[in-house]
Amino acid sequence: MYVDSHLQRLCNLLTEQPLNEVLSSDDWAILADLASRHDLGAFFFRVITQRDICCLDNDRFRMLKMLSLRATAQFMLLEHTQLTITELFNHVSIPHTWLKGIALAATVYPDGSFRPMNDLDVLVPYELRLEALKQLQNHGFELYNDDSDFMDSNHQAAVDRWHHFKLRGGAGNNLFLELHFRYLGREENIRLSDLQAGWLSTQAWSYDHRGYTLTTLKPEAHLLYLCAHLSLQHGIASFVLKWYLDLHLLITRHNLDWKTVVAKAAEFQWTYAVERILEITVELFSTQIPASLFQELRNHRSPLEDMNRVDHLAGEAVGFEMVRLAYIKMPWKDRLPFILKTLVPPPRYVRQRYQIPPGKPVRLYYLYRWHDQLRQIVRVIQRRMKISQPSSSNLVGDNTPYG
Amino acid sequence: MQIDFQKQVTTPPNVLFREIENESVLLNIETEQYFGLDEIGTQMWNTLAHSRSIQAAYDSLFELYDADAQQLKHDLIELLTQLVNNRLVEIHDA
Repeated sequence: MYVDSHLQRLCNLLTEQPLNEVLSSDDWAILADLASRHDLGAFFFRVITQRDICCLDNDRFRMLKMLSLRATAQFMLLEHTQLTITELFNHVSIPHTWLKGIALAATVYPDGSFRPMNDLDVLVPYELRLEALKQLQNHGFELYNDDSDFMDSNHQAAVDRWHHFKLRGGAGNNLFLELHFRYLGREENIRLSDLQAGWLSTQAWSYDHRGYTLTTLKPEAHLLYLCAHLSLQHGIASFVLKWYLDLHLLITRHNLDWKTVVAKAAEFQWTYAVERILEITVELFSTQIPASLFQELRNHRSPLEDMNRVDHLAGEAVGFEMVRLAYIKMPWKDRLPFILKTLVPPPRYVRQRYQIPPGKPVRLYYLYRWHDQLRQIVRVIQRRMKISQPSSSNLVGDNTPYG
Repeated sequence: MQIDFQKQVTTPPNVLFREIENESVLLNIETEQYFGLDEIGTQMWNTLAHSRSIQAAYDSLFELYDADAQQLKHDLIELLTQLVNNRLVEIHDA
């Protein structure tokens, strides 16, 4: 992976490593903008004010201060909603596990508001998913129609395909909640086996937060899950700096049992996923991991492990690759409807996907969609013609986090 | 806005308060209105929230900061006005 100098400086600053250089005010401005673009403006602001190394113009300083204030308010809303849901689920005896951002914010970040997030992720047992959904709907949450149902007009089919319900509600009535009933999803081939899910379900870990006892995954299990989530679900090409910062802090704040990480990565056939993601984490943040870790992961790699998905989702045109991978895994009878729905999704989906204001016609956006799809296909073909060796270099340095 | 210093400041149940490194944020979770307080504002807020009246808070702050009496009163009224207008505090009889 190529990490440009500003991204490297930003990573050093966020992890309190020495800069070893004097930065110009232009450099500081670029860093501030880069941090904001990666949704880490609040964290950056706290770091520079704590270390008293600010060399920003007044406008940027004020902008970062506003971002920091807004991030704190947003986190307070999310945290309040999290605690309300915990109370609710405890009351009706639905076991639940907080995943990703909201759990990491409280357990590995210096302050929860430094970890930006757009939603909450909570996992409930598959057999209790509808009960959990009903409870949340009774408390004002509403199903939010997104990608999960554009492929299937039949909601049950969407549930079978997906790994979570997306809901809107909570404090302010405007927060998103992903009610997971599987760890990974969308396509059957990245779903966890009973063996994997069974082990993860034994890895609950409790932490006390604001007078509540909350549950998340043990650090080793969380690390494995995060690596799989990044490389198999979203793809390495969907670069979001905070996801790698999560991993760096998780590794730094906990004394991980690396033998368990290697053993379970091997058992789950995730050794390549873990290796690729941790390689990037180390490159970005100089994270301290055992010197032999990557070799150990390679040594324990099963010949059956499928590394293609990680590589395919590491290059450009990740959206097309995801559709292609879903397509080749599905039965023949489902393929034509899948292609048609990918090319011509319902107008409701197009309006939401491209954030088209009410009243504005959606027709033009189909043209835009087809143009974008064609562009991605061309990119994939070009990449495949250009790159013959399996391990490609991915230019990630200055990507915007939300493509 | 007229503020009666004999009254008491309370936080409505739908308002959350959070301190981060001497600064703080007040947030109304229903309206999503929020308000940031710097170090001095946070001190003022904490004193107001733990005093039996605005006058008692004023006396404590006057002692703490050794400030100009009129300036302190003006700052306190200005802060309370903003908080009341944003529905982040309520003023009741003590």
